Amino acid sequence: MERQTGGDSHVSVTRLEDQSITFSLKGVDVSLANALRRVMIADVPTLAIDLVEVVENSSVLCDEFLAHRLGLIPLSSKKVSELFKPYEYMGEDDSATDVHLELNVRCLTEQAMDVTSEDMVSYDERVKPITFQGTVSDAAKPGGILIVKLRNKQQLLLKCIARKGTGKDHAKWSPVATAVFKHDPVVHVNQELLKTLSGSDKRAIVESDPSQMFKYDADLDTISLTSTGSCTFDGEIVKKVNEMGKHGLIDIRPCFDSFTFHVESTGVLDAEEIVLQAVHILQTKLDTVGGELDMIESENF
Amino acid sequence: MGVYDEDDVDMRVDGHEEDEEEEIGQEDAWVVISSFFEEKGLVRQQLDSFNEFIQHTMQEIVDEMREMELTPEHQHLPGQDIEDMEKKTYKISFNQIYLSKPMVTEADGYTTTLFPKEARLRNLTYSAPLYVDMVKEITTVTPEGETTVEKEEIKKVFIGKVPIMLRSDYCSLHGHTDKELTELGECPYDEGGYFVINGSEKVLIAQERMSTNHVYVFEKKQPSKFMWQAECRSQPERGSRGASSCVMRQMHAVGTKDAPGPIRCTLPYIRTDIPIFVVFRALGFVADKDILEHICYDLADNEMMEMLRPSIEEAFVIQSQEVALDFIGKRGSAVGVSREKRIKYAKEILQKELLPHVGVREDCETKKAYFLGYMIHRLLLCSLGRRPEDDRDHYGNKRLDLGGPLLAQLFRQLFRKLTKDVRLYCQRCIDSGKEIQLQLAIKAKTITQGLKYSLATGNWGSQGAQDIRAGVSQVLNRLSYSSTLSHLRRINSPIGREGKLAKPRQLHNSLWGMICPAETPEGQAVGLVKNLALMALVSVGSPSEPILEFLDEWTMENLEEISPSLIAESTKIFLNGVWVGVHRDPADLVRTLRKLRRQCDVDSSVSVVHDIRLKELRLYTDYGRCTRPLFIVDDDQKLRIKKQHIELLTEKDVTGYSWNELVTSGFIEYVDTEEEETTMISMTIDDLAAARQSADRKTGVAIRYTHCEIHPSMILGICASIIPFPDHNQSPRNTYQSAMGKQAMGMYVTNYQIRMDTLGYVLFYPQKPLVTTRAMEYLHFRELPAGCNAVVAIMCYTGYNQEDSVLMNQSAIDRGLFRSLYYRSFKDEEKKQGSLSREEFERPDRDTCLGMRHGTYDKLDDDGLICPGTRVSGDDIIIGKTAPLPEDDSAVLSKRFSKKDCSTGMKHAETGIIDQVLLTTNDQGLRFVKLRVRSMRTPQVGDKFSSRHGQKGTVGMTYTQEDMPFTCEGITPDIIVNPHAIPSRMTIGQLVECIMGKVAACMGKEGDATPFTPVTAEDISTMLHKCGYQKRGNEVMYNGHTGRMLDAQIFIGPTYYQRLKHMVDDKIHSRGRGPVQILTRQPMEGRSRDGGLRFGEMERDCIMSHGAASFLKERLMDQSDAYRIHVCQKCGLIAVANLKNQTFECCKNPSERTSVVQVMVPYACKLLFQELMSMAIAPRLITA
Repeated sequence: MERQTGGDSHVSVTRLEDQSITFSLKGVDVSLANALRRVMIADVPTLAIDLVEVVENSSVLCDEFLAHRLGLIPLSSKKVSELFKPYEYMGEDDSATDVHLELNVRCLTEQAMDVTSEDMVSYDERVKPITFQGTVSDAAKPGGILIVKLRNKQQLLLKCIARKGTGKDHAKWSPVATAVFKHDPVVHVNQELLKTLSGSDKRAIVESDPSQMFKYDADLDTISLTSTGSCTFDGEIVKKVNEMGKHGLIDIRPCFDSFTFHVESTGVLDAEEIVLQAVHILQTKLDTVGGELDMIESENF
Repeated sequence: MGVYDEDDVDMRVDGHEEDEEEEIGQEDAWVVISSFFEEKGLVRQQLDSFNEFIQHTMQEIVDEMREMELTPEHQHLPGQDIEDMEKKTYKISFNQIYLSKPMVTEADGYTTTLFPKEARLRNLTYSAPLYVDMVKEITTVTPEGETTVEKEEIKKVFIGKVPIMLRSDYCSLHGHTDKELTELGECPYDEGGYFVINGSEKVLIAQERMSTNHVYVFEKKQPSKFMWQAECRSQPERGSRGASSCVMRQMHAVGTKDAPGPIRCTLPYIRTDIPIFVVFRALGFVADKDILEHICYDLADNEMMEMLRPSIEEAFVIQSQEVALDFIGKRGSAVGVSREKRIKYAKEILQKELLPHVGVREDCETKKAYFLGYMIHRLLLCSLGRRPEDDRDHYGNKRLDLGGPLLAQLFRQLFRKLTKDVRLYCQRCIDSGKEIQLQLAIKAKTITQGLKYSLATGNWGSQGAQDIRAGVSQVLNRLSYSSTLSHLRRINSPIGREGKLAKPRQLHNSLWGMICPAETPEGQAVGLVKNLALMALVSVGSPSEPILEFLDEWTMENLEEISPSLIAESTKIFLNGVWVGVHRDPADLVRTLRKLRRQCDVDSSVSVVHDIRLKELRLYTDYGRCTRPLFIVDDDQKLRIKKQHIELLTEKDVTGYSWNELVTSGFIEYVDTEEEETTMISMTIDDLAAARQSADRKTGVAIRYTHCEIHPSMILGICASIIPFPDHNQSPRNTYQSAMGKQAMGMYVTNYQIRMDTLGYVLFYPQKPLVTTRAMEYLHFRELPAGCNAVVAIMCYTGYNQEDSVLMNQSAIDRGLFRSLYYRSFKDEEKKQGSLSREEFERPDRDTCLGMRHGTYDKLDDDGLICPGTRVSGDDIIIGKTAPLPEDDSAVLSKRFSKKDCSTGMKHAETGIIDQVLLTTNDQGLRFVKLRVRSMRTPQVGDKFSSRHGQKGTVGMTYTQEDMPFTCEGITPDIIVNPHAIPSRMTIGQLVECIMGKVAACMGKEGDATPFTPVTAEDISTMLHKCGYQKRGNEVMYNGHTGRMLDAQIFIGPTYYQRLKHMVDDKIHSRGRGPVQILTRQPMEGRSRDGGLRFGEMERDCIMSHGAASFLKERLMDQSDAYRIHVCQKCGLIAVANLKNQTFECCKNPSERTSVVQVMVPYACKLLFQELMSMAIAPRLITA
């Protein structure tokens, strides 16, 4: 999936899953790349529980504690585009801003009972708590997010209102777990100089790099670049080479207009959707600034 | 290596197959340490001490009381001859005492067992009733000479209530399982060791003192009249007498400054110092040679004999016992009495008051003479420069008075008072011919109230008495779990805080292993308040008789039976400071004694000190000695404990093998500070192997160890044990952290929801640290943590983290980082007013109530209480209470009002939600309310945080995630600290913690940061490198605002951070106008009273030097206490002004219209004038 984006800039997606996306962005300035990252974290709207009415709470956690925990539960936010933020909407219709959810549980067993996000009842089937899907081959069981444990005869009756918001206001509205870019490296190995090294020295050079960009092949007595993706620019390998007195043997530099992005979603939106929306929002922002600038210009002249 | 390695486990499995005699390793030592803490817990000294008091001391004190003998004082009856009447004598004695479980008696007389939870909630005292068997014996002698004895035994008379230490043998919680404890509303991690007095938890702080019956020799510095001084504070093992001190002083030779002169001795009740030869003669040793033999032992020692020459010459004129006694008697307090009386008086003093610990019976002269001689001998040794002077600060010379002895002291006083009262009552009964009713004679309140008073106030000693020690009992600190534990192990030295002397405050070598080298407060109490090290215990004392019997069996020669010439070549034996005899083969005796002690045939807390140089064997059985356990090393330089015993310990569920078995089988023994001086302790088990090797090779110095440390990290106390890598820090930083750990929020007890603490801080999400120490396991720091593992970067970013402030990630805060709850409790009760009226909880009504407050009363229900869940803020009324106004109160007010408002309001600057309301009755049956308010605190700019290395800082700015710098993995720091915080403070431990935290996080394990282990920073770096990170913990980061790669690599990794209790919301304060003081009309002081901010002298000086006069006047007068007075221009005094009628009067002459002017002065100035006027001084204001 490659797309030419005007000028020399260029986007190519290397990996795409529901929850994560890796793509490279070339031919743009850091400022643009960073703007995209910032928008993904802070400006892509999602849904999260914003108001909790506590009718009954005999659990060990106090009301504020529960409200905070509920707020952090990711809700599927496909519907977010149809909703308004509370302060954007002037009308009377609550359903334009609010999505109602309810948590009503009572522990009847002798053992402590886990109350999870799966116990929440939503009045809108499109807004549901995200459950762990167990994609990672981990010991963690698929299931809801634990909210509180109830002992025998303890009860919870909470009425929640989810609203639209952005990560700028509170981290619970941020759709991403990770949204990060890094520069792509430009690696240069001086093969002439390399030949002057013994096998053990070559191995030492390879091992000096914690990110293991290079591999030493004992049979061929060569160093080969395995992956540039793991490069962190920590300079360890260059330092090692310099220590050996072989200045310029290996040179790793960041390429300042080439970026690899990695975005992981919290599950509220698909990763791809987040990136696209972020681009859209960025576009809108730029349009606004552009429009304003035009206006100033036209006023001045 | 750093992170717990699974290899260790494998090694243990391998070892099993090898022979049983295999040596143990350092890892095995931790099994031993675990078994120690499992058996002893962390407040053992408190519990042991209290149990000893209850089980033995209390009965001893009762037995000490000799029986009371009373005879009637006969009334003179005309016509009756005293001879004709029958003679009656009454004897009253106290016998067996009984202590029941803690009980509470309600106001209606109903009695039930009491549990601590109820005592805490209802403000009761957790105490148990004490009963005693009493015997009344009436002997009647009829005029005919017939004797009849009437004996009546009264069983179990109630004599008072004794507060019970929690978790002691007599506590209701004793022997309950964790589950039962939880059901009783207790925290299973709570270790007890404190009392509950009127609902508040009280700790008895251990009091340090110099040990008694010990001979100290000190050099006197120049201005003094003496050169050397040997002193002994003598106190018998049993009994209540205060210490009597005996001092030997070597004077300067007449007219010289450095030549030794005669030695004199200070005797109790004798005004002047007595030449020592006179004292000896008074004791019955007349001949010079006799006396010299008692002092010198070796008469060939010319040097020493020469030293004694001035003393012999001085006492030349007194050559018989009679004269000597008279000489002493003349200088006593009995003046103008006959010679016989004087001699008798002097004899009494020598028998009863001089060195009472040696003996107070008549036949002790020999022993006393030997002891006096010994004191002089020691003094001369120092004077001759053969020995240095004694070290006052050596911990072997110190004793700790814990709860038991402190309570015993109090109980003795109170019991004596009780018996005195009984005697008084009985005497009155007998005199008036009434029958004695013992139950009525006993005022149980004496003991109940007396103990309660001292424990509640901390003033030790009965009420109103002199020499009361303040601050002995303190309110238990419940800020964090470790602060509670540390408080229970605190030691106080009652030396004046003002004393500038540095010596007693300094860390002494002998404190190793007994007292924490890091944990002490800063400032005036530095070094005076100490804390026990983790494995230190305090001896509770055991009787000395068994040792004495043993010594007699083992051919000790008694002092009475030997010739003094024998002393020189044999070893002197001291038992608790008393010279009991000599022995010719001490080495053998010591070996047997140690052997018996290691088998526990002799009490294991007995200390055996064999001082070879002084030729002394000192044995101690007294209470208050600091001891600690050590591995015993055999002569072959191997530990007695072997691998097989460790295996028995690890499978203790099956084998039942525990710490106690290790002690009784002689693998481990308790060594006290003084005995420690005679041991050779290897630091690690590996040192032993090295010693063996060098012995085999016969190279180098052969070291012969007698003991081995269990683990050197056990020298630390509670708070210092939480610090990771304290051995990489500058030492004051560990001290700072030890103080700060006590302010960290976390989870202070697990039952905080059912407690009603006046203040409580609980973290939402406390985390166990990624980087731990082994000791934390015993402190339950993982179960009850106080902090979070934050990702910390050390960098400059935006400049908002200068001068010890930090940047914090707002998104992390949103997600719950360092969120906390703050609880505050209020309490009120319906107090009785007189006998009829009583206050009442209700909603006060403005129509009938006097003195209602500004705040809203609307949140109260009809019963005067507020509903849980109600949001309250400053000045809201939360408990409504009224007191009835007395009917006869002067006219006007009482017509309208029938009640006075006595409600409780919220603190003026606080807000919160009502969490819980408790309505109950107290011990007097009065209605009683406790109410808890909760508020959530999210970290914000100004809140205080600290790492575990004394690096504290406040939040300078919070940034959301997108503004924070990020690594290529997308990690953003939670906290950014400034690099300037590191170099000057040298907290390398924090840096090492950080990289170990990173390794631990990568590997999903806990990092081990125990001090004095072989782990190095290089080891950790290598592991980090293997995890795929730059090995020193640096990472390339990108600016969050611009996205640019940062020029420098940033040191980043998880570090455990603590949230400290100081929060801006509790401190923020400003005032424009507000309340003023009544007297001076200047603004109030302090935030709680909405006070003003002081414009102090320095500020004044500053403004004065600017010449800003108007501003100065505005600050100091207009904005403070400006006041208008009217001054008569004629006399210059304040005139009478009636502003309504515009009439002004002064200088009583109506014809003459005086001119009165208006003057603005500070109210304080007006006040001063009026005060001066009241003293007949007329300050006149001359107005132009």
